[in-house]
Amino acid sequence: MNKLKKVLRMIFMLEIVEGMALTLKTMLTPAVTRQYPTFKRKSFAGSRGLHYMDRDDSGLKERCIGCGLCEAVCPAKAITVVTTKGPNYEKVVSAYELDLLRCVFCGFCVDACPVNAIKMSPNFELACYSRRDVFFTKDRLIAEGDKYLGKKGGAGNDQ
Amino acid sequence: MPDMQQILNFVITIGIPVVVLLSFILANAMYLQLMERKVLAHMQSRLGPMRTGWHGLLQPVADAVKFMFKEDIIPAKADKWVFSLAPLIFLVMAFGGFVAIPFGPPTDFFGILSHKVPLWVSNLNIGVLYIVALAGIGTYGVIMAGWASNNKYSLMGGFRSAAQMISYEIPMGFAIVTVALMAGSLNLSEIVQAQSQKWFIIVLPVGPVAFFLYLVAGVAETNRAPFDLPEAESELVAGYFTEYSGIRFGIFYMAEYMNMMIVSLLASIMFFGGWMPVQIFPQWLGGIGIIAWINRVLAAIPPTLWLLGKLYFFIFFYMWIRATLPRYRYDQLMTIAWKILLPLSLGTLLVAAFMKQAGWM
Repeated sequence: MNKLKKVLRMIFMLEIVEGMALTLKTMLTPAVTRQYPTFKRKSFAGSRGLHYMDRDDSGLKERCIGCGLCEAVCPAKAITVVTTKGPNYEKVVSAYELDLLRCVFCGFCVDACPVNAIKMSPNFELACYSRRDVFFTKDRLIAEGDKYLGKKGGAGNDQ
Repeated sequence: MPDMQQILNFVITIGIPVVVLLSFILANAMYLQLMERKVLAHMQSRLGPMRTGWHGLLQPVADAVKFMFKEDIIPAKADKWVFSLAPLIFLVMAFGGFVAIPFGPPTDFFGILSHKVPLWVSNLNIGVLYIVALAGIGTYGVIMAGWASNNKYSLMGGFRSAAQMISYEIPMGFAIVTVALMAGSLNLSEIVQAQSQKWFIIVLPVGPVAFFLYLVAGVAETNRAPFDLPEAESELVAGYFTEYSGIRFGIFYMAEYMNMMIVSLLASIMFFGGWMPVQIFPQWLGGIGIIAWINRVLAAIPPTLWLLGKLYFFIFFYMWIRATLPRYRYDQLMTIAWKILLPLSLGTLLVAAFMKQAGWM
């Protein structure tokens, strides 16, 4: 009986019919494609994108205190921190440079920072036309922070 | 010296149908590519072309422009004449088949014209034979392309396609002979007329079997999945047109879709009543209320639309098969043709001849 069933299945090509039914069903269900540039997913919590620098409480200068921990912990040696002595003998961060071509986006600098000055936004669209554009100075990092914090809540619209 | 009247008659009877037919075929060959990409994409849960025009509607135009402006490359060691002749042979043979196809009964276009005009270019008495012969000659284009390219992949593709087309022409021919036997004619419009009472697909038991044979052989004839061994990408790069680029490649590509159209048109003409409308049980339930009403609505649709609807259904069916089935191995392909389809087609022919002689159909 089982054998007869098998032979009948073969003669009437039921497996092909089942396959055709599956493809037709797939065709009638909506496609899973997202039309990327016009439709962007909301970023996930904790996603690691472009860095930015927070301002301090006065809002006039960077929050960074120039401790150099991020520079020490960076496995790709992408961060360079230069500190000098200010007029009132305080520590001044004269240069904070981030080379995105070296950066591996591990997020160790964010973890290492004792004052939460360097952070990461979910912005992953970092393509640019010039090598100079991937080299981030302190001012550019602060500007990125202003840009990101000004419209917090993600890069795009979601379904 | 022909006078004005003769020239005018010639233009009206030959020129207008040819121009209309040519533009119809070319527009279809372009847009069937888009249809195939869209259908395949959606069957694989993708979207397909979306950016060139609304839902990719201008994609065929973009493709055509790209084909035209590509550099025309002929390999240095290729046989130049044969290389450039091969796509033309393939294309002309694909075009030629449409000449004998009747797209509908003679019509006066809802009373616009004073007399009825036929919807075919030529009403050949040997229509089916002519189309099959042209398909056979089209094989030469493939072999020539494979040989002239001076490339081992092309050559393999050409050989495979020659063997495949010749093998599958036989069961296809027998299926067609079965139909010709049932209709009593090789003329395509007479084959359609013979189905005014009963389509050949529902003539038991030979109709469905002959249709199955024709369908399988037709897929193999047009070199489409699951029988697309001549152009098997994973084995032969692109098969016989590996070395072709630009507009020559475009010609091969378009001719493939034209062959698909011819095979689909023949399938609908020979088995599905051509331009005859679908009728639900006209003999048994034809007179009953709602069914009679539906039948009247179906019969009111113009016959040409019925034929085109069947044509597009079969083309969709081919794409559907392509999206579903994996490719056969080469020895399996030959086994199917010679050990299954050929005996089956001979048996079908025998039964059909017996039934005809006994007067059962």
